[in-house]
Amino acid sequence: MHNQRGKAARIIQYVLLVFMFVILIGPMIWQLMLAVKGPGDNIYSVPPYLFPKDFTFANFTKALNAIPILTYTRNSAIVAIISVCGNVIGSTLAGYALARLKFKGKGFVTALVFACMMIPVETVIISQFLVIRGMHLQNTLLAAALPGLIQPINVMLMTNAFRGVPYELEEAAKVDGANVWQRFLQICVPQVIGTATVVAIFSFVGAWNDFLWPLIVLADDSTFTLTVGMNRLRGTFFSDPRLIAAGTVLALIPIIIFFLVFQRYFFRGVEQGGVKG
Amino acid sequence: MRFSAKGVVAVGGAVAMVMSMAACGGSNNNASSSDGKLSGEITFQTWNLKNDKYTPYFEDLIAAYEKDNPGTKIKWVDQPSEGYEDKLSADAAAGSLPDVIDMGPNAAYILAKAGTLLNIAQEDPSAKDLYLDNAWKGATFKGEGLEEGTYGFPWYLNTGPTFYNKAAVEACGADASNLPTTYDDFFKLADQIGKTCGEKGISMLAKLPNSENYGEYGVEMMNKDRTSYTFNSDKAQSFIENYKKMYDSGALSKEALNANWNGETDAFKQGKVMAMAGSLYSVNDFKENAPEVYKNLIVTKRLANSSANIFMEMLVVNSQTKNKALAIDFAKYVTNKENQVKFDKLANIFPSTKDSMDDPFFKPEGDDLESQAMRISAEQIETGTLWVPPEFSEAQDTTNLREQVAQAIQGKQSVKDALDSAVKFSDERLQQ
Repeated sequence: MHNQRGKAARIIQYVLLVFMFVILIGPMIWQLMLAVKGPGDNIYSVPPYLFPKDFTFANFTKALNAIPILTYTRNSAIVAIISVCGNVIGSTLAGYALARLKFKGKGFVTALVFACMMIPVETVIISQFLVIRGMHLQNTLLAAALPGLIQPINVMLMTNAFRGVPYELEEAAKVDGANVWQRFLQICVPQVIGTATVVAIFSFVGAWNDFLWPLIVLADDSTFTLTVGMNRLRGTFFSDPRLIAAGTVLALIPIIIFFLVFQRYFFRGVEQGGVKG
Repeated sequence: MRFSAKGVVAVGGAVAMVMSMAACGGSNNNASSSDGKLSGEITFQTWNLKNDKYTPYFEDLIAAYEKDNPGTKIKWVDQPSEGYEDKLSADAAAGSLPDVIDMGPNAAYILAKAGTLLNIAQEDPSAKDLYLDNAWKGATFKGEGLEEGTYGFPWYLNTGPTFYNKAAVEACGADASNLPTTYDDFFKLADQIGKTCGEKGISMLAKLPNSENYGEYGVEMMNKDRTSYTFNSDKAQSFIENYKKMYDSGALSKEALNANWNGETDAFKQGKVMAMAGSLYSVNDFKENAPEVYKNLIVTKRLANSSANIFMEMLVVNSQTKNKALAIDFAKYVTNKENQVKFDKLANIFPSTKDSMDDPFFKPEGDDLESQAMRISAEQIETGTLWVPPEFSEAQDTTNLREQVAQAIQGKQSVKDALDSAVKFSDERLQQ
């Protein structure tokens, strides 16, 4: 009896897992299959079919020839790395200050960070652009990363993480004669690595996927990031869906590599972040 | 898809404010020397035209110009298709627009109103004689706070046939040899076969009326002074009532009501739609990407009671350019007859210059679909109209009108209320 129920539960578990798998992976598989369909495939057939009848890799070569995907990927990677470094370092520092230090106007600063989270990008994008132009940074990759360098949401995450670190730890270090920097670097930061990883993932994905801001601030195709540059795969007057699919598949590769390499850190981080947060 | 740029509303609104600030920056137009010889450098911006198909054309075009005008340098930049209006708005606000820019009349109207475009009619009055009257008129704006003028050179034009899918036509029970080419006949046919189509899961049309379709049906969009909109007339109401009838019988695709749906072409390629307005270059698209439908393709004149619609692209000149003489001369050069026709042959579109349609390219003899579509489109270029008022913004007016009409078609409000409220909304925007 007990065994029976366990079996049923397990079956339900797997059905749900398969369902999730289809929902999450399905579109990607579809895109991949579209990318290897040749001119002999009717991509508008009713009902649609998944596997190509006219298999080809030509769409990938075409996409690589049509736009400099490698340059765009490099640009995106630079922007993403700047953004990850800025967010991890900046919000760790800010988070520690807001959670642990006592200074005048702390409440005001916290409120300010909160308020910044509520402002939709679209409303300030033009003034941001004017500022960047005033700094003579337009059409640089630094400009594409700058407005998102320290995201308020990440500051809030880090503040919460530092709040979760037991006071006793820091006090003990204080008794041993550690100054603020030592307590910050050696006692508290190791406790929040998990949340910092989450911040790193968020900012990487955010920077990698951003479209509107890079579009506005970057002026020519030598500095385009992947999201902006990929748009050029769309034909001027009509598009070949296979070509666009091939381009998106190629653009996914770096992300997948990034994820595979750092996967175990991610999950460790997310777990820790979850427990502490 | 080229002509359906969307804009982020918030950005558009912010521009007008900031632009007045940016416009204060003084400019200096003395870059070219006094003897009329051109020199210096300008930036020329196209919209999604840098790719293996068109890049050689533009590189040759620029090289030839620089050779004829030693001492000049044209820097060519290209912007991706998505978000173009946002990009223009931000650049206009920051005063960083390029010198010569490719855009449609709706975007040009907004920038002209903000004072960022040169009035070509004033700078170069003789240019008027070079372009087709309807094209020149389409680039001529007036309105609240805007001096009447022609704010750019007309560039390429586009129009196209209505495509019918023969298999769908026959499934619905219509006569494939006698297909309607006017809205009146089309709606008459819809009364007869709409129900059959709906029951078979075929849509006669898969799109709500676009802003250009009102004019094609015979609706006056604006009054003569261009001070208010008039598309709530009886004529306009009967137009929408016909769509509602089609919807009720199942002959208008349900998805068409969804504002975010742009799958008309996809649905047509799947064979689920009977008729679709397209462009000359759509024939190639069907041939390459939907061979099933291509086999069943019938091309007819574009559905219109009055005259067929023409879309236009313009080359505008930034009013704050540092090198006005060169910018005007180059824009005129790109849009001259010879260069336009060369580009049209490459892209399957049409010239806006006078006496350019005599080229044999526009008068093919063949009986194939491409030739038929070309003959139909070429005739429409000569008789057609630019129906969309430049004032009628794609991002706001068109979207709002479509939403109102969608509700009327679903029966959530009367057609009259829908059109009245759309006119009111757009009139208010016009006064701003």
